Amino acid sequence: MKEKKITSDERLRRGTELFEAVGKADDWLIERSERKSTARIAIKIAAVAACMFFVATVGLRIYYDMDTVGGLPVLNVEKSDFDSEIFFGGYGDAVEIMHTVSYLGDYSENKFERAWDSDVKIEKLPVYHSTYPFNENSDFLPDFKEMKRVLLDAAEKVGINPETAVVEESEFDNRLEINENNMTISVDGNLTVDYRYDNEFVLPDDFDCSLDASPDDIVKADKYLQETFRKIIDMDNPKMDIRGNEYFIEGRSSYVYYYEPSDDPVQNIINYNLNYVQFFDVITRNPSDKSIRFIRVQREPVANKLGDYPIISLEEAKKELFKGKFEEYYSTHSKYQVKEEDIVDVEIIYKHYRSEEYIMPYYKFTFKVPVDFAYNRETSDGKKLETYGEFTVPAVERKYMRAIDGVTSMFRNY
Amino acid sequence: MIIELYWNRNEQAITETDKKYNRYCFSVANNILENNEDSEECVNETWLKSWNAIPPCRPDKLRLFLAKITRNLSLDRFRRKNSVKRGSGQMVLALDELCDCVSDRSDVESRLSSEELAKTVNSFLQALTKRECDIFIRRYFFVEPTDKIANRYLIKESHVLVILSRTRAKLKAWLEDAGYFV
Repeated sequence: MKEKKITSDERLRRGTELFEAVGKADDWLIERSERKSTARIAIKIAAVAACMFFVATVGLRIYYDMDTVGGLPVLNVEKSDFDSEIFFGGYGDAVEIMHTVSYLGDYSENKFERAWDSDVKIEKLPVYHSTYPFNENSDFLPDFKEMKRVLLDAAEKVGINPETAVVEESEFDNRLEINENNMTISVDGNLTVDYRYDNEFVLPDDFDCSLDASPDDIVKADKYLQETFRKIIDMDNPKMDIRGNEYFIEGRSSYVYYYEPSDDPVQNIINYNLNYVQFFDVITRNPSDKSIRFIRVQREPVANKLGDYPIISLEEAKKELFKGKFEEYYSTHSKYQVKEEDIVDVEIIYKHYRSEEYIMPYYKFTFKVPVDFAYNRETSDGKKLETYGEFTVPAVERKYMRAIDGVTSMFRNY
Repeated sequence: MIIELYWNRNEQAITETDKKYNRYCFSVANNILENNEDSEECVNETWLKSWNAIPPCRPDKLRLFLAKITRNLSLDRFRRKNSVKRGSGQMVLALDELCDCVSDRSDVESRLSSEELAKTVNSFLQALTKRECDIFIRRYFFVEPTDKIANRYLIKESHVLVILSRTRAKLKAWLEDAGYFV
């Protein structure tokens, strides 16, 4: 019997259904497709190297020797890693690197701890490979056995029996999770654990560790959190740290962290950036709404450590910032070029966003946005607010990094 | 950050979004619609949609969040404009190619809801090699012409066509396994 074919309209309808389904693809897949071929970069580098060959017969070796330098793997760093907000898609050069971060009466209102002392010289800092974005073709796959061990250990801390706990695999982002005791506990490939409450954990009425709280209130709040979440915090000498500072219409927002300070300057940076417990929304936009939505336990991903990398100095990082390395991007947004006098703070931070391939150190420059470029903001009681922005510059020495996508702009000043 | 402007219901959010993402979203729309005026309208509609969606949404990647909204709006507009007569251009070609992945028999029907279909396609994309997945997304998410994809990944256009054709065949088998059109 002859098969009955569908009409062309029906065929198109079915095709459109698929087209809509593709539109719901995971963000990381879409984002990854926006990166241009690394082969393109390799060819550019090879072309440059080939030219050098005629001049100095060693040119090509420079390219081929790039996979390791001094025993350390070369980091394939994207142009976007120069700033968390930069856009480098394939649609022209609509990029902007000024990243407005906060509105404050004054930067000195911040209360967060300093993890890095710029007077102490640091030669090397560790770099880790992230298991995100998860990609089964990657050489760095999540260790599911270790993830399960960490998850069960985390569950036990909130009274869940690890013997009977049901561990489920989250279908799309390769997390493992346990749903029990009105909460979801999950772990990702970097061994970051999230405790997410089905209903928010309500804090006592007199709980206050806002930026406006008195020192006594802070001590009381600290004691409460340490006692209530002792097992989750799980540190010998935890230190409370209030980070975040923005003004919102209803009030101010900040988050409570715990980390363990160390006398070793490198370990102190690691602990501050990679070994911490974060309480989300302890101080919410609405100060009367005191609750915890979830708690994140971040741990240094020791198993994924690539090595200790020599870092550039603060002065070198500043030079990059001032040399106009980014100037070609300003034209699409504004003509503003950051100046030394605008910088109010410099820190060494680690970024560990899911979309980043490496967990590596950056110099973060916070600067006061000049009035001509700032947003005109006021608090509800009429207080004028300043706008602050930030730039991040990779701290690893450039010989350990290979630019992918945008090699010409990234390395043009080297 | 722009997201915070949305959360604060500060209309500057729209200005900043437009400043930063207009060209990007316009490209997404124009790949589908191939019409400047329609694409501009889609982009403006995108800003309105995002204003209404954030909060409660707090997208991780605003750019991709906007791209998805623009794509959906552009698809709606494409449908309206092409409901009477069959259009032409990259979008028609891309849809036609995607039709290769579905059964052309009238005695079969989908057993998957649109949500299930999206999950199935997503898991398929994750199972592909990076190269296959990237090219598939450039073509069927961004509706990019194949010569442009070839240029992006520095391969011949014929190679792109072969990869796309093989990937569509794999998707068809994957969908059949998942119970789509049985």
